[in-house]
Amino acid sequence: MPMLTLTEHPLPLWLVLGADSPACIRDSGLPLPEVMRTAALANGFLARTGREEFLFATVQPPEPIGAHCWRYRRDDHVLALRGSGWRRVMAQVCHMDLTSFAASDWLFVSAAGISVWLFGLEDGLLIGCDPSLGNYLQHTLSEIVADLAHTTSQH
Amino acid sequence: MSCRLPIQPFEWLDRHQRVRFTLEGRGFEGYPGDCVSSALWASGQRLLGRSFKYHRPRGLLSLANHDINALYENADDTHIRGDVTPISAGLQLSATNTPGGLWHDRMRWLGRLSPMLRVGFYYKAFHSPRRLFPFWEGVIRRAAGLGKVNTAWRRQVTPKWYTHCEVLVIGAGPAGMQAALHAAEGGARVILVDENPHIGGSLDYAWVHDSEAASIRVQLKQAIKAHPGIQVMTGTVAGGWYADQWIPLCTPDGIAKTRAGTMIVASGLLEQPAVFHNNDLPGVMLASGAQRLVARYAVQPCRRALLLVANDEGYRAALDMVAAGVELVAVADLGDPDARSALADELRSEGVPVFARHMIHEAEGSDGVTGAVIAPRIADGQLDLSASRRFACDGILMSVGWAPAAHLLYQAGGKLGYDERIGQIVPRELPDGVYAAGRVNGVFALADQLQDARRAAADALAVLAGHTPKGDPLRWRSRDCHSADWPIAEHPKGKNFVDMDEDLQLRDLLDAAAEGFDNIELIKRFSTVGMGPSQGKHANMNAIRVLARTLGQTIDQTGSTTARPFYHPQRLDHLAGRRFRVHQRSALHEQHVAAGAMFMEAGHWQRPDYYGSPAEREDQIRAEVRAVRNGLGIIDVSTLGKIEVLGPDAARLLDAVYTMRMTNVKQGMTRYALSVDETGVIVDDGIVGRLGADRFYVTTTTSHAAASYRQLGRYTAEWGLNVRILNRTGQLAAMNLAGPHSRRLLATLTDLDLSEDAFPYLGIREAEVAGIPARLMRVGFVGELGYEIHVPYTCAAELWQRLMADGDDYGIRPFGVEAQRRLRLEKGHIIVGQDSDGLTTPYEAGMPWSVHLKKPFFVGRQTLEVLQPRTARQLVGFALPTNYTGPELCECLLVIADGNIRGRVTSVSYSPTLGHLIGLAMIDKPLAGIDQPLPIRTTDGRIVEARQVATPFYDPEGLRQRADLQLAEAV
Amino acid sequence: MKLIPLPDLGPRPRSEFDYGGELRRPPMGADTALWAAYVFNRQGAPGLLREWWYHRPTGAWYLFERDTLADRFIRHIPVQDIQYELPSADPAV
Repeated sequence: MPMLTLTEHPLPLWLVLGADSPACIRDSGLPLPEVMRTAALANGFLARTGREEFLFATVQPPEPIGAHCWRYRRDDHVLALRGSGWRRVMAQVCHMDLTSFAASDWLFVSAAGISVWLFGLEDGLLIGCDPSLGNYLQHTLSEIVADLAHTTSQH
Repeated sequence: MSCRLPIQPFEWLDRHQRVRFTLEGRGFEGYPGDCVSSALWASGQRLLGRSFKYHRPRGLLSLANHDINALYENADDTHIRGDVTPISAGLQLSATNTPGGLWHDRMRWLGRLSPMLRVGFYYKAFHSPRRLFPFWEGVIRRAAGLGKVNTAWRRQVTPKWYTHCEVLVIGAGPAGMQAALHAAEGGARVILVDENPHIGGSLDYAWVHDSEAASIRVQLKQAIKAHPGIQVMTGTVAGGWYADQWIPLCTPDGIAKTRAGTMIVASGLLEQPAVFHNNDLPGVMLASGAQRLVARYAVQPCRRALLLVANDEGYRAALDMVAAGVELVAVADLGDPDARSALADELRSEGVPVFARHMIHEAEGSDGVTGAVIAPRIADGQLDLSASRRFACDGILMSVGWAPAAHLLYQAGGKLGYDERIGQIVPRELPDGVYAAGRVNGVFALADQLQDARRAAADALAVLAGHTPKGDPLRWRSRDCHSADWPIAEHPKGKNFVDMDEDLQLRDLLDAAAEGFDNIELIKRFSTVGMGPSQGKHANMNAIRVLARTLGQTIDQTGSTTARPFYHPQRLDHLAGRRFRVHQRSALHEQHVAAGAMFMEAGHWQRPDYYGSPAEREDQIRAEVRAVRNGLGIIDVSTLGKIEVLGPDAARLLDAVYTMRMTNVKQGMTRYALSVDETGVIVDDGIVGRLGADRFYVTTTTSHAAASYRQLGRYTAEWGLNVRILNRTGQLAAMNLAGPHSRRLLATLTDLDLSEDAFPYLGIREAEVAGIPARLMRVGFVGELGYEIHVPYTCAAELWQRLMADGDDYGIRPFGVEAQRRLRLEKGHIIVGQDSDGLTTPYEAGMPWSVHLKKPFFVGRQTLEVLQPRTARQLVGFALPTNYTGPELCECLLVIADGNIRGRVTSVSYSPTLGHLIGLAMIDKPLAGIDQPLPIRTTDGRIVEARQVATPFYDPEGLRQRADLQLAEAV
Repeated sequence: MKLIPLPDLGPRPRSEFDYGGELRRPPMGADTALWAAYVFNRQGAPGLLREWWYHRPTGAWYLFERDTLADRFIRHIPVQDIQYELPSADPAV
C-alpha cells in the first residue's frame, strides 16, 4: 500500500486570458478543453478555468495573439498529496465529495478556509493556492498527514 | 447481593472477563459491555446519584440517557453519564454534586426546606438586603451546581471530517434498519447511525420473546452487514439538523460533518414517566428502562414489581419481567385492560391482579421503593383514596406514554401535531427530502413499522431520482392509544416530579402558571422545566399536558418549545475540531526574521512592525525614519492589493469607481485613487497606473485588497463592461526603496533610464531589475525619492537580498510599519479607517481635489454633490512644541472646547524628522484654522493645548522627490 | 449549512461565498429625497429578493432570486438580464 506523502511540487504556471484567448490556443495547435476541464500537454497540462481563461502548467505557454489576449505568470504554491488515504486527508479540510475525483479532473474549491484549485493525479492530487497562503496550507496539511500516519483506522 | 441474570439472548456483555472499578472508593465489578448504571444495579446498588436541587436519592429511570439520575465525574472528566458510559478497568468515579459523597451527601436535608424553595425562588428571595445577594448567590450555586471542570486539562485535538451520503437513516431499530436496507437496495449510498454501541434498537429489548421479531432481526442484521452500500455508525448521535440536510454526526472519535441527500428519522420514542408522590425514588423506573436492563445487561430490575400501564407496550414489558424472574404484585391500568391486546389476559392467566382505571397515589420508601399505593380514578387527576390499595414492592415500572424523539424533524422545519387517537405528537408535514418512519411516525406494530420504513425509503429514492414521492406516511399509523392523556396525580405532600433533572414538582408548574407565566416559552424559562441536561426528554410532554389543562387549551394550542441542537451534549474538543487559523506570509518573511523583525498582525498577514529588540523599540523606529530621510530605507509592502484591469472598457470602469478622473491618465503615469461608497464615505485609497491603452495596474490598501477586487468584478458584471480583472495581491511581492540614494542604487541594477525626464515622479515602468522582471512606480508614499518595485513572489527574496547587499554602501536599512506610519504622517497622508471613519467624506478629509464632480457618473457622485456644501467637520494637522513634556498623547483622545466634544485625535506621533509631536484630528469646522489652538483632553482629564498647523508637516513643496539631483546641483 | 445552487458548478456551501446584498439600480438624477431613500433604505419585508453572491474560489459573481421567508433559492438570474448602461464617461482622454 503506497504511503501517504505530501510534497512541494513547484510548477511553472501561466494564466492566459481574454476574448481572443480561445482562438490563440487553437491557433497554437493546442487542445481546447471544456470549461473546468483539463488537457494533457507534452510536458504538463492545461486547465480551462473559464470561458476565456486558461491556466497552463508548462514551461512554454503560447504567445498571446490578438488585442484581447494577455498572459501572466503565476507563482501559486503547489503541493502534491499522494498515496492511499489521500481522500481521508482531504476529508478533514474540504467539504466536497471527492469519491469520484479522478486523474486529470479539475476543481476550484474552498479547503481549510482558503480558496484552492485541485488537479487529479493517478494516486492523489495536486493542490494549488495563492503563494502568500502556501506556508499555511502546507503546514496545515502536513499536520493532518502526520496525525493520520499515527492513528489506526478511524471510520 | 447480585441481581445478575443468566445469559440473555441479545445481551451486550462479554461474560469471559471481569472489569473492576470504584465509586467513591467503593469497589464494584461488572462485565465488559456493562455501563456504569447497569454494573452498579447488578451489584445491588440502588442509590446511583442525588438530585440537582433537593439532593434526593435517585436510581435508574430510563437507562437511555433521557435522564441524568446517574451522573459522575473523575479526575479527567465531568458529567459522565452512567447510562451510556461503559465501565473500564480502573475507572474511578464520584457522584456529581454531592458534597460529602453519594452516601453521606451533606445537602440531603435540603428536601425539608422545599416549601421555601418554590419555583423561581431565587428571583424573589435573598434579594433584600441587596448587598447580601452575592453571598446567597454563591451558596445557592454551590448547593445546586453540577460537575466541576478540570481547568488544567490536556490539550487534545479531535479533528472533524466531512462525509456524504444520499440517504441518512437516524436510528437502527426495526424501522431504521429496514429503511436503510430498502434504500441501499434501491442503489443509494446509505449511512445508518445509532447512538447505541450496537444496532437493533427496540427490536432487541422490547420484542425479545416475540417470534415474529426473531426472523426479522436475523434477516435485517445480516443483510445490513453484507450490503456494501450501507455504512453503519454506532455510538453515533445525529446532533442536529442544519440547512440542506447538513448534519453533524457525533461519533466517539469526533464529529463527521455530513451532507445527506435525504434524511429518514427513525429515532423512536422517549418514554414518559407518570407523576405521583415519590415517583423519583430508586426503584421507580420506566418500563422500557427495565426492559433495557434485562435484555442488554442481564440485570434483574427488582424482586417484586408493581406496573402502571396505559398501553400494550406495558403489558409486553410485564411479560418480559416475568420471564426475568420478577414477581409482579399487581398491574394498575390507567384505562381499560380489555381494550388492550391479548397480553392483558396472558398476565391474568399467570395470576397477576390487573386493576382497571387505577392510578398510583404514592410510592413509599425513603432511600428506595418499599411499597406503592394505587387508587381508582374518578375524575381526571382525582383519585378515590377510600378505595386505595397498598402493595409491598421494591420496584415500580411505568409504561404510561411516549414523546417522539422528533428533534431533527422540528429543526428541519417539520410541522408536528398531537394525534388524539394515538395520544402522541406525530409529524403532520415534513419538508422535501425529510421522512419519519416507525414509532416516531406513530407506527407501532412491528410488521407495520417495516412497511412504513419501506415507504419512507421509497420516497427518499424517488426524490433522489428527481421524481415525486408517492408514499402515504399516515397509512401504517396505529389506531390504538399508546399514551395516557393524564398520567398525573396531585398530592398534598408534593414531591411528585415532572422534571427529574431540575427537581421540578407538579406544584411548581401550577404555581408558575398561576403567577402569569402561562405560555410554554415563559413557563419553561421561569420554572426551568426542560432546561436541565436532559433538555426535557422525559419531562416536556407532561409539562405540556399540565399547561394545556391549566389553561383549558388543546395540546396543539399549547405548543412546545424549540428543540435546539445538539440532541445530547457534546464534548467541547469535539465541537472545536482542528483549528484552521489562516495566516498569510510575504515572500520576504524569512528575510525579516533574519533581520530581527518584530512582527505585528495586519489581518491574516504578519508584517514587520520594526526591526530590533523590544527594549530598543523607540530608538530603532527613529533610526529607521532617519535612515529613510537621510540615506536609504527599504520596506516590504507586499500586502498591498494589486489588480490588473484589462480591456477596452478598463478606463471607463476605473473612472466610474474612483472619485477622480481616470480616463485621462497618460500611459506610463500613475494617479492617486480614492473611492467612496454610495453614502459618500471614503472606502479605500491606492494608486492607478496606466501601462497601455487598455491595461491598468491598480493598488489598494492591505485591508481592502480582497474587497476592492470583488467590487471591481461586481461593477464590471453590473455595467456589462468589456473588462477582465486579475487579483495579483499574493502573486506579486512589492518593496519600496526610499531615500535620497534610491535612484543611485537602482541605476546600478537596471538598464531602465531613471533620469527625471525619462522616469518622472508618479511614473510607472516595466523593466528588469537585477535580471528580475519588475514593475516600478514612483509614488508619494513616505515623501522621499523612492521606487516601489513589484516582482513575482518567487523572485522577491533574491531581489531584496541584492538590494540589501548593494545598498550597504548607502547605509540601507529595512524599515517597518511603524516607521512607515510616522514618515507618512509627516507628509500628512491619511490612513483610511484611522484618519477617516464610517462618516468621513473626501471633503472632511481635506481632499476636495480628489473629487471630480463634473464626471457624469462615479459611485457616490450624487451624494457628494449633496454633501459638499454641508461639510461640517475637517481633518486638521496639529503640533506640539519641541520641548513638550506633558502627558502622553494617543489616538482617539477627545478635542474639548467650552465643555463640549468638538472632535478627536485620529493620529499622533513623535516626528524624528521635525523633533516634536505631530498629529491629525477630525474636528468641527468652526474650530479649524492654521495657528488656532486645539485643546486635547488626555486620559487623566487634563487639557493639553496643541496648535493647528498646515500639512504636510514636512517638505510641503515636495522637493524631496528630486533630493539627489539638488544635492548634485549643489555640489 | 445552506447550499447555493450554482448553474455551472453545482451546489456549493454558503461558506464559499460573500454576500453582496440586494440587486438594486441607482435612480440616476433623482431628486435628493429619492436619492437618499435609495442610499439608506432597504427592502426588509420577507419576500422574493434578487441578490448578489460572490463565489470566492472562482472569483465569480452570481445573481439569484431567493425567497427570504422560506430561505429557498428560486432561480439563477443571468447577469445579462439586469445590466444597465453607465452614463457616458468623460469624453476627454
